[in-house]
Amino acid sequence: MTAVRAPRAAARPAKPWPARLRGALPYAGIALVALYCLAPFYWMVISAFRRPQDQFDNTPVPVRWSVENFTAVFGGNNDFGRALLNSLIVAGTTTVLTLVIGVFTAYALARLNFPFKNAVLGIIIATTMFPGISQLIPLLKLFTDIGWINTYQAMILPSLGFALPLTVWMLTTFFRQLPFELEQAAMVDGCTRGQAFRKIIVPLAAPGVFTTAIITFIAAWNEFVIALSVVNEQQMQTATVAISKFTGISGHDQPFGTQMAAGVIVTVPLVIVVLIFQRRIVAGLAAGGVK
Amino acid sequence: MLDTAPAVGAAPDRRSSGPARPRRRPRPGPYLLIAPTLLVIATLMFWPMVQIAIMSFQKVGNRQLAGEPAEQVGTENFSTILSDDLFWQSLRHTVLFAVVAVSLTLLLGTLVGLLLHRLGRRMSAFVAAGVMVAWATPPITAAIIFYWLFGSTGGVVNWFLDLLPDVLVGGDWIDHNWFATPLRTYTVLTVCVVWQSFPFVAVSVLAGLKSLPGELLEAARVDGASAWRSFWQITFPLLRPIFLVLLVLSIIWDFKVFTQLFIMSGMANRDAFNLSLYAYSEAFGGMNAKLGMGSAIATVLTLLLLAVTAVYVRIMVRQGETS
Repeated sequence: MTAVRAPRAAARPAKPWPARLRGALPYAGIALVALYCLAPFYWMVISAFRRPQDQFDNTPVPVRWSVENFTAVFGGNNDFGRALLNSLIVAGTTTVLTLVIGVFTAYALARLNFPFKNAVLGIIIATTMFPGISQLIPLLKLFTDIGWINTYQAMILPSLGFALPLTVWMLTTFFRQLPFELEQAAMVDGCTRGQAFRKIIVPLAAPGVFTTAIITFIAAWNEFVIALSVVNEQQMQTATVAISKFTGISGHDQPFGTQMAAGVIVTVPLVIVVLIFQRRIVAGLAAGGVK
Repeated sequence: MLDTAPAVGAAPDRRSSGPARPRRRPRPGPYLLIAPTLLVIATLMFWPMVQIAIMSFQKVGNRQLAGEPAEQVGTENFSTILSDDLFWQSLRHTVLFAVVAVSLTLLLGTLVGLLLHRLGRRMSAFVAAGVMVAWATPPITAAIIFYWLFGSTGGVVNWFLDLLPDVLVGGDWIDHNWFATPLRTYTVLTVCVVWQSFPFVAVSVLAGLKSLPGELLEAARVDGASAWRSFWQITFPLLRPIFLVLLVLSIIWDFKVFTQLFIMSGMANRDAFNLSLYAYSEAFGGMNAKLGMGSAIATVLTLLLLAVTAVYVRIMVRQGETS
């Protein structure tokens, strides 16, 4: 079929104009995508480095560079350092707990056969859709009843609930791709199942687990509505909540410069991590969502 | 299972004599491994769901929060919200926003995925990196950035639109208030949410494209099929499962958008509520908490999502079986 038709395609007259246009099209596409993706991000960085009095300037680079916005983030009554520490504690603990619990479950789901496996899988996937608001209302009531308002566990536990299903699902997908024949071979050679798991599977699975950890951490770090609701003391705010409540040094109008600077501080570490591990994360995302 | 039953029956003999243990009998091992996860999901995800359902038939206010038993009100919460125009408006906003945002996300994500696939290795990595920057930005930061870009005082979008020739975009942009009407607010919200969600679609489509047999598309090109045709005749049918999952996931995500709208429009702007924000505002917004009302709205939202999820779970479990 191909061989018969091929000459016709080759014989078609070359069309210089549309062809050239088509050649340029991908580049125009790249330019537009890059503009859409990066321009808002760029504007955040640039606005953060303007002087507060220049905050409404529209020049593409600041006329006068300044770190005043950054000092404002940590100064005044913003206490952003504390908020960053809180975010780190909440997101870090959530990630560790999620992984410790999730790894075993994912191993069982990927590797072992047992009755009701698909039902379990279905339940786990289904929970990823639960709207945050319907978890929040009862949990907030519960936390009020047991005096957990303004505690770390009140932020960590709901985050754990939201992160765990996705983590388990991503890890399951990673584990399915592992060469388990190797494990069998090790067991034939005299390893116990536990040894085979520790010595063969764990090293192979480490990259997948690591990627999942990054994605889980980012999700927990970005969490907003729970942290907003279960905390009313400034000391316990996470970074995302703190940003939403910024009043700036003067405490009057919208302190965009300060918010942008705080945005840079919260976002840039994530962006760097994502860029370093980009290939892995892309693989992880594709695995978690699609297959 | 039935076919192997005789072998299992023969096993006990061997077990007493040799190291080979019967493998077919259901063992407690797997259940011990999944138990912690199920416990967490049961307490943190399903228990609240049950509570929401119960509370949606109760009156739960400040007094109940202080310890008084909740008052049963039957279906009063539901009849209140169903007769409230604000509920229908929020529902309309939720659904319309989801339709528009999901379409744009999938369209843009697919286009970028195809573009990334066509580019050379280095260029593709570069664009993918740019795309991932948008994905990694926290929703709260994204909301503030776009709120600031579209701001009526000093917003760079108004400034730029005003610079453009009036024939193209019309004049008088400089004081344009992007948050004056729900339609405008949702326009900005859409731009912001699509910005964050299309990267996921793009990388997933790219991963799918990489798994396609290259000869197929090659053959189509040699046969003289246009790019348009070979997409619809070859790529799309082969990637249909991926697109289906992306569609369902995008619907789920865009149905429950909260943070961005909360930042851009806030609790005071009731005209622009979606269901999440409406539920939040009823539950915690006023001086007197109305958790029962909030629960009733959240129940409606959950039921809507449940219908979408049913489709999703079926696809995912089936895919898991075949892979």
